Amino acid sequence: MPALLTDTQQQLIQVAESMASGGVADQRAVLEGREFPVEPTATLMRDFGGLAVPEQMGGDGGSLVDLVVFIEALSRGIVPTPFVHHAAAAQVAVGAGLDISAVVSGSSGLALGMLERAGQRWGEWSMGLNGSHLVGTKLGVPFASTGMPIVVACGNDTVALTTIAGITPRASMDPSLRLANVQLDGDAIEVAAGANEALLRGALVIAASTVGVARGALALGADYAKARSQFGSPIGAFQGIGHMLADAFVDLEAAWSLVLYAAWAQEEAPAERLAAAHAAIAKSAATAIHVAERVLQVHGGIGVTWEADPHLYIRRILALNGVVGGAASHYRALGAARIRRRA
Amino acid sequence: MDFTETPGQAEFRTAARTWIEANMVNLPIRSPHDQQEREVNSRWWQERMFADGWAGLSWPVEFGGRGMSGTEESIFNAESAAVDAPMPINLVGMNLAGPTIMVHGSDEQKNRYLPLILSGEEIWCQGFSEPGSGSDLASLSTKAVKVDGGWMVNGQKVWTSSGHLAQKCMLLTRTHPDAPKHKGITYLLADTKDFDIRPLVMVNEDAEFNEMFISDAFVDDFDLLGTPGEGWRYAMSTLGFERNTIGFNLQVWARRAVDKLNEVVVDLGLAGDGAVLEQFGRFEADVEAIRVTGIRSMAAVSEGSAPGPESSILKILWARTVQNINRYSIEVQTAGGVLVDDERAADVVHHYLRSRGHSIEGGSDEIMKSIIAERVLGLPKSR
Repeated sequence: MPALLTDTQQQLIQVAESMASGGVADQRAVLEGREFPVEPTATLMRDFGGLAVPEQMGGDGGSLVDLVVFIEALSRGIVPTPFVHHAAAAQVAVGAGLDISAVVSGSSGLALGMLERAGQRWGEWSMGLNGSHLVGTKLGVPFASTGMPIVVACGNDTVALTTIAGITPRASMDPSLRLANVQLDGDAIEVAAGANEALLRGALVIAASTVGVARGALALGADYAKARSQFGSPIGAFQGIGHMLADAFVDLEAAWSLVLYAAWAQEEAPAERLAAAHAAIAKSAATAIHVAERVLQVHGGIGVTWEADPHLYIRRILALNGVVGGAASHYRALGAARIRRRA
Repeated sequence: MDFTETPGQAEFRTAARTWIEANMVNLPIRSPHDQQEREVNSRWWQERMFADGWAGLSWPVEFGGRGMSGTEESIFNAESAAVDAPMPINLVGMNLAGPTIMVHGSDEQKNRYLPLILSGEEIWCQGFSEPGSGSDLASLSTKAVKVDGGWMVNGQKVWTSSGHLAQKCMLLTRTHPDAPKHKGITYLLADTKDFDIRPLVMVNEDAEFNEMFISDAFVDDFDLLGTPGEGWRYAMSTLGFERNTIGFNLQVWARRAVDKLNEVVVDLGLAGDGAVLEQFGRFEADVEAIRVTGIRSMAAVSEGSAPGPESSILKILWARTVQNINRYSIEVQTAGGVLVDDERAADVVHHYLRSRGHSIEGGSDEIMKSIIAERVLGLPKSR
């Protein structure tokens, strides 16, 4: 089999695109204080909640590449939905071998708690586990609610499946990606070793979403450059604009290649898992925000108005980047994983 | 989406590695110090590759090749780069001239030229760019006039890689000065023996490319490619082949650059420095992105899609990445990086200076970005 999308993957993209079509309007509605939309989350959780989860855990047995391809296409429309984070949490559980068969396609889904404090770097997990008892707070967890099952990063390279004891909602720069501090105080349902690789697998799902959002932004920028005229010509005909967008496309393809390869490697090339995931997450985070900022620039004055859409993409990308710990610590971890010291 | 090497490919990789290692032992010059010495090795390497059937891996069997795909070319290149093996001397012939002749040449031309390309007995160069026609190639003005039995050529070419080694030249000439600029070009397979070829010294003191002054050079009718006036179309094929090879040639040189940086960082005792590791990680990600994008692009090509704008993406990524790595390899050594009386610093500086050309040669970054802006993003033409 070559490095091309399968028929199934192409179908997944089509389905995701159709579900993403109202995303931008929905995100703006949430940003402006309207109620969080029921769809497409209800459909996603019902029909795709177990995408790329093994059958014995209640999933559909698809591949991680299937999942990242689906998430990327869905995210082009900045769809407000907990689905991305549910899928990421499920992949952490899959990576660590936590049994989530009871919660895979439950309507509330799974939450994922990684970071504990502002400025924390990837890998600095410190939440203590006393026997099987967990006490502590996770910072800015997406779409958490009290009583919901959550996968949490703990110290000593472990992850635990537990239940959320309480939450403190936080105001996010992207209200459509709801964040809350999560209080944990109770027994873990399950604990597993191998946190770093498992958490990377989850963060990779979020990276796929970041690439999708940036791709949506780039399409918006290209459309605007075709429609807006100055000096008697569409501004996309000026190289200052066209080359900026072309650069954005080049960077985004590089990031997407890394996400596809990392997703494949998690399942097919164990020795490559760690480095491939760090590379994909770092590159996606760094590239996506750069792309979205350039798209705002292409819009000129209208780009800095509330009514224009570029800021919607920027908000989502920065929120997602925060969740995965930012590009820099992943680059550093990749450097440390790849440097070969003399024997 | 599957990145697994097939058993056949894995077997090929082992065979390639074995052959390369066995031949590296007998290299005429063990550690070449300048371009002349590298060319001695390259000439020998081509002969060895030809003798043992490693030249023309992706050429059809009927033309002396092995009928394999770009993937095998890529594997051979990767294994070569891993041990710093020479490049074969007739890359332009094997990658550009040969494939162009296979598609557009007559049977007589194929029989006459193709075997000598793989053996390296006839080295080829590409007479496309001119002093007044760089990015705007179709404006070229080297003139060919029909005379009895052939064509009389006058003009000047520039940036001609391997011109100083070549016997044959893919020569673009203007034969119909009154036709629209893309319609009046004729593609000749010229001998270089009457050209005045002068090396151009590059910023790193090598002289890989040349100026060619052509004054009343006669080209036999036998050496006309296809139809007069149709040369632009054939030239686009040649450039297509050039881009085709990008996928399997470029990533290995980016890999080589980052591996050399690895050695520098470790030897300087900086392998534990967080800022250095972060930068090193950034380069590792970039090199890996080139590798994977190359694999995806080759898979698309072997599926039957013509090489499209993907090659422009790869070209830009490769140039930028290699340039950034090479610059950093100097800067990370601070005061030591510029002291070229040290053998390794000299090597790094040499590669850095050479790499400034990467964003210009084979289509500048700006041309590549215009291709992407127009053909991928659908933006209006900028000129």
